[in-house]
Amino acid sequence: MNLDILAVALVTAVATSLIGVFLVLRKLSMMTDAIAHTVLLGIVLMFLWVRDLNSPWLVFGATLSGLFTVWLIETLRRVRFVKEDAAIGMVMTMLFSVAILLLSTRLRRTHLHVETVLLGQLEFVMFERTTLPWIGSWPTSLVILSGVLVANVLFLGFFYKEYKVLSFDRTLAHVLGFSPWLLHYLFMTLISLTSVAAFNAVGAILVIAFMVGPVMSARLLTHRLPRLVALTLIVAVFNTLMGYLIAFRWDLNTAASMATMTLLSFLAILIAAPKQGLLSRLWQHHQQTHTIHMLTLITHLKHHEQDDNVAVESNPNTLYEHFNWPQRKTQKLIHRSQKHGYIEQKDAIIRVSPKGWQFYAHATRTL
Amino acid sequence: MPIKHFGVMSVFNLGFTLTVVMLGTMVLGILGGVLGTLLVLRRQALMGDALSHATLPGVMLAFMLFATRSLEVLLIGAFLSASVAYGLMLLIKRHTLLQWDAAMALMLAGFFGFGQWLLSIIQRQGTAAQAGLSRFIFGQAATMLREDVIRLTVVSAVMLIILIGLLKEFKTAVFDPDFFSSLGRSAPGIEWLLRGMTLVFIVLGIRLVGVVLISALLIAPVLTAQQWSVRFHRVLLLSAFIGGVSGLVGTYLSATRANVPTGPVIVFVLGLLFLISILVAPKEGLLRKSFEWHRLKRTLTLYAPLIHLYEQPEGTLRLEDVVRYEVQGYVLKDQDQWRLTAKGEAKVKAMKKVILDES
Amino acid sequence: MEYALVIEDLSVAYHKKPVLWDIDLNVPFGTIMGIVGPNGAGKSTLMKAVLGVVKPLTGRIRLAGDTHQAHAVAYVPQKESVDWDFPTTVYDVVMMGRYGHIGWFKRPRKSDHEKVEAALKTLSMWSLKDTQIGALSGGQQQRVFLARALVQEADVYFLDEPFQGVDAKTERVMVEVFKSLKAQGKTLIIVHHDLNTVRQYFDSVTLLNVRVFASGAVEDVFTDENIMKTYQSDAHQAFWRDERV
Repeated sequence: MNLDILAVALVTAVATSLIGVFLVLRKLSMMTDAIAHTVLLGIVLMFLWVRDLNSPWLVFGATLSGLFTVWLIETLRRVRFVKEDAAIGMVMTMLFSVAILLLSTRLRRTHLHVETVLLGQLEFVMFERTTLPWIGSWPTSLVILSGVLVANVLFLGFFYKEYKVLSFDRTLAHVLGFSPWLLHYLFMTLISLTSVAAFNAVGAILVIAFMVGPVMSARLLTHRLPRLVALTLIVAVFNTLMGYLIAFRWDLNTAASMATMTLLSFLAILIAAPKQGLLSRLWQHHQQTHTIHMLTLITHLKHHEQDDNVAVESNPNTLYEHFNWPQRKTQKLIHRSQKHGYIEQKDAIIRVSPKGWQFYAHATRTL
Repeated sequence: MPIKHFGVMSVFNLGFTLTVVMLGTMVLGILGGVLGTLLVLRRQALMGDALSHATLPGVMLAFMLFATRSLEVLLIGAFLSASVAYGLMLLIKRHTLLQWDAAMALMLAGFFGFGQWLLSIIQRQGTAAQAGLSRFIFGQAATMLREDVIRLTVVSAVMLIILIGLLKEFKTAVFDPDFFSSLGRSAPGIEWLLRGMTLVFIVLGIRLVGVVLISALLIAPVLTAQQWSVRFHRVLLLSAFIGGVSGLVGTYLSATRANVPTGPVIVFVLGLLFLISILVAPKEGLLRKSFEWHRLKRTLTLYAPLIHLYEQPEGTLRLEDVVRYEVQGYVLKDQDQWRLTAKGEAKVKAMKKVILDES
Repeated sequence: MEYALVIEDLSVAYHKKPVLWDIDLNVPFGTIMGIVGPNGAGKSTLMKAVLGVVKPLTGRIRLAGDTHQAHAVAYVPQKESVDWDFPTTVYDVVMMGRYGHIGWFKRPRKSDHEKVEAALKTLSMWSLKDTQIGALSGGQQQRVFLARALVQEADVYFLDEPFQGVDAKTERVMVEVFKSLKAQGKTLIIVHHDLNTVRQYFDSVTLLNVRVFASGAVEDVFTDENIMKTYQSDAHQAFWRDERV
């Protein structure tokens, strides 16, 4: 087992998913799609200048190009030609195509490959090492990513309440005197920096999955922000460990394996989450239908209680005609209501029981 | 035969293969322009991007299951997996509080990661399919065969005929689905038709321009066309035209230069057209708009007091305004009260007229 | 006379289209002012301009004594402008109102918690303090936002259509709160669209349709003639077309 790879994977997952919480809450998910693709242009341009694949200038250039992307998208939108999603698609593809053209014409014989940027090479991270004072030699990616992680933690720790307000109610941020513009660009700088730091290990496209996946899963489990942050980190670490183990056991692509786990764990939570999961929703819907049907039955019986033709209206065998329902469905309803003890049958007439009246009173009050 | 062999030929003496490929990309560009107009107006511009990335696992699974490189099988796999991703996106949108864009981002990257994971399984089995991935990501028009182009053209033509035949239905359903339903038509039906055609378009187009850039064919022509007109039919026609021309020119440029992939060149041409349009288009141009905003601001700052005086003849003027207006001959002093001259009144009326006409 | 809010020569335009034109408005302390006008009259834009969200084309806006905005103004948003699915509780939303006082980097103190509790109790929302805001009814949501505005302890309160879609009980509670704020010398500026309730809720009113048509005490200004002028569907068009209105 290679602990270097696991460490890089874990740090990547925690750094990306943490910033992802506010990314998703601020509804900027597709903005990262754009940033993740256009960092390539920044890297290419900086590489043309410094001609060194390991230069820190590449990270700087890529971060800048991420910010440039955000600015372009917002400019297109602000001057009101273009809806946000169209602007994202436009800017992303244009800058990406320029990057590819530069790569294929000016940089053909270098070691800078598009595949590396887009797909990443987690398996190779340990070959590139940096020696730090006191703590010795570590993979360069791990050093950079740890720095980014610390930056993310500090930043979100300091500005937690400001970003909460900004995500929830932008106008309030204005009124309280936080500069939304400044906060926004600071945030996008972090997003950009995190994408850049992570692409080396997991590739620009999978970064998106690590940013949005865990928080989306956590969103289905809680309505509280602090718990959301904690659950997001738990899901992210779980995905990483599982993905790593699978990849290690069968010798597969580690980053892709982590992304697959991100998708699968989300789908599992989507189906099985206690309150917001699909199964639970189906069950709630089912229960509500039953309640409504039983209420309808009691209302009908109540309506005809003092009636002269109560024998006709409240006869369990002919009730389906009055409801204009299939006979089986009506029979089932009567059975269910009897099982709950809401109705009693005497001489082919059904009547509402005391328990039924309680249920009726309670349900009509809360409905 | 790859096109590069025809690299040095002049425009008037194009090789047969190049002509065929150019025809194919042109048809794809036209279809993208038309389909994209509907998608962008429906606020679904990024769907193309999400779905194209989501085709990867389908291609890989089809390859693993049927152990074939037959394009038909792989394309069907691509179609199915993008459909599954789309279905999941709809499910998330309808039944959870999660946002559409987040769902799109996760399906895009999650499916792509899953596809990459499957690829690593294939590679482990040593079937040497690796080269396929980068071709899949960036597209390779140059390797298109005549049969590919014929299939592409036929399918695109069929879709174009459907689109044009049902144009007013599409238009109504896109602008106002409720109204469309009230006419007794099926808005969901039209919606599904649009989704289906988008999927087919993406699956066909990936081979030419690749996963990342296919969405540009759906977005860029429309946005460019929208700079020139606001009328639906004009935007549609112009967008189809721009899409077609970019396909044609892009393919030609990439074929006549060594080592330049087709997709990025087409998208680059589209980007240039967009940039030019944004700067110079008559009505909506960026330069013009910024110019007009500043002119209005200047007018209001300079002449608001004059308009005040016009409205309330008993009003007062600040000294700095008086000096300016008197020099320009807009006001005169009449028994301790500044009054508008005939010229001043004309100026106020002219300003009002300008602002009314433009707002 | 000391004014809570003074607006001079304010114009706002979205691109070439003037939305507010040449607004002059003085709002004294201790008033409840309604801003009334037809759809598209620029009521919300006026509020956004005062809050600093929209950049004005021309003009000046001065708030009470030019104090720092964070403490001078509180606002209650229109319902559509807030993300109701946001993972946060009633208590948390009200605490956001204190953030302007708490300052960067710091955490809420005991006094902040006490103020939040008091405001929630005033609006009888204390029992729902741990509820996710999306799960509340329309009236309850409005009360939460009013509580948030209360803890901001501002001089001027802006409310955008606060009575829209609330139940009768909430409406009574809100009117009570408004009256007690007024008694403390606070100023309330309320965007409103229901002409029938203007006399009941407000003591002064501004009739707005791109321009200010009338502004002052309700009994002086809220006349049939002024209302007619403001609501003439093309009143502001007529202005530009050079008919003196």
